[in-house]
Amino acid sequence: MAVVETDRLGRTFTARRGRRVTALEGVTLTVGRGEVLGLLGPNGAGKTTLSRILTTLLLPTSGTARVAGHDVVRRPREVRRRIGLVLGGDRGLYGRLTARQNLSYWAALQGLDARTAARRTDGLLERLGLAARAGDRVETFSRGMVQRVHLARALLGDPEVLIMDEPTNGMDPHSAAGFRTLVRELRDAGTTVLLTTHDMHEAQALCSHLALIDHGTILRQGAADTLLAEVSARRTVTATGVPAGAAEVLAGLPGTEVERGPGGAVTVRPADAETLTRVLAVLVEARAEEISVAAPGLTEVYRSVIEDREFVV
Amino acid sequence: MIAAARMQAVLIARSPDLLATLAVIPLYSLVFFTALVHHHRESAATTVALTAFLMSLWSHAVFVAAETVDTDRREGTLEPSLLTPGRYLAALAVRVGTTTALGLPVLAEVLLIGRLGFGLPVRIAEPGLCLLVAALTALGVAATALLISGVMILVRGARALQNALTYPFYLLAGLIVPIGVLPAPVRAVARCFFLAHGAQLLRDAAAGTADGAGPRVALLAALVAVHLLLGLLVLRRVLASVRTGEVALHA
Repeated sequence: MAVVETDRLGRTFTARRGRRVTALEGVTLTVGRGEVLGLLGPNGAGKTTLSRILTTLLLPTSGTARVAGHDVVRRPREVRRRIGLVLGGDRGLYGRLTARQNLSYWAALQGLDARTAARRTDGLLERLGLAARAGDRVETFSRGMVQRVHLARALLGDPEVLIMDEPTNGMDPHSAAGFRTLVRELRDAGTTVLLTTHDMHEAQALCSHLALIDHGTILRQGAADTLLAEVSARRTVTATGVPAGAAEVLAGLPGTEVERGPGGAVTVRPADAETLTRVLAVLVEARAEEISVAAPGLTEVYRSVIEDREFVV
Repeated sequence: MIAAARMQAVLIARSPDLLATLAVIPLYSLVFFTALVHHHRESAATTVALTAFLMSLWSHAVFVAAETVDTDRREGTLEPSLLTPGRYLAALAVRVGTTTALGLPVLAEVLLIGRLGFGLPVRIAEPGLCLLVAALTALGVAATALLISGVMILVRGARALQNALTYPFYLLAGLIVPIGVLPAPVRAVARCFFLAHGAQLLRDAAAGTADGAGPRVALLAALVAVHLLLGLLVLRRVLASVRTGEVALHA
């Protein structure tokens, strides 16, 4: 069952001097219950515009969008009762209030009665590991703790859909890993998640489905496994202790890219599966050490779909 | 909405800089009272105290309460606030009202400064009426803050005019010179200005000359209600403009 669905969704803005700017065009996608959709794309691709339309913060100029069965234009209040927004970064909370005061305020805005608000606030503070610091001002929190308060705020209304905008941006690795564990728990409990991120590792770790977006249009979408299988990017073979002679043999294999490093380290990208077998045979015969083969990941998928605008020479 | 009022009170209590206006304006009363004593005009002490109170209330609204929405934009809290099912506007009104209400104790403050600091004969003949009028006037001032906060977001460059929103209105309200000495067209505008009515009614209540105050209080309440409605409509328009993309979510 589709929890989030858009049909030819579009949004244009009028810039200065009446110039029309297209932020989103013809976006059609579907996200089912309990799925995690990763929305990947460069800055200015249209990710935030799409998120804002789905959260009712922005009206589309064409097409339709429904969240939990409700149209985002005609029934925004119904949509808002069913969604939670998790923002990344330090902004979005009242830093001079404590975690508990922040949550109590937003619980009131959600329309929860005092008793329910207190129960949910206590429960979320406990569940997200914030109970011990509940009485401290948010401005004294680490980035990871601030993100947990963001998540707690988003969960106050027990949402069916969570929309996360770069939630682990700036977090240290431990905090990010802990945050991802929480998202997995929510996903397993049936919450639908739309995740906007630049972190390919995070997207690969969390997302069941992916949509790659650029210039306001979806360039590729589907199940993460399918997209990874479809990508024609090469495997990467790395090894150390490779004798110079063996490295030269590898460089002579047709269509193979070889990079040499210190201590006999080599990185090889064979053109195809047959060449990969030959590369491995050469390395084993040369008694190379720490031989490893890495399958193409989301980074390769991303780079094969989204054009590089920043470093094209 | 109690949560919104409590939250705003805590926010302001933890931001002492926001209370600066309330601390500074009563200092004016020191200057005013000194001048009164020097010129042997002690009988005007209560009027001067009420003037200092109303100036304090108004400037607190213009410079602090009116910043509530823009502060939410700057701190990124507007975005999640708008996602709540339709109560943000009410919460904003309560928060602006709470901020403005923090100016009410200034009335007692200036009266005490006059009496204890200068030994002046400040007195309130009808304290009940005075409190009612002060509360209604504060509500009108809060409505003004709502209106200003909306206009500052809708109109680019409006912030530059913020400083100009004090003395012209003090004049219009008869806080600096009596309304009777203003030019006729300005007097006509002043007749529709709630602060002018509130100020005169406060002075009369303090002097014990507010006979038949009922209709005047009703007129003040009506002017405040119109002002409040206007403030809420402008702010609702601002929040609607965010959805259409005319107003940015972040400042």
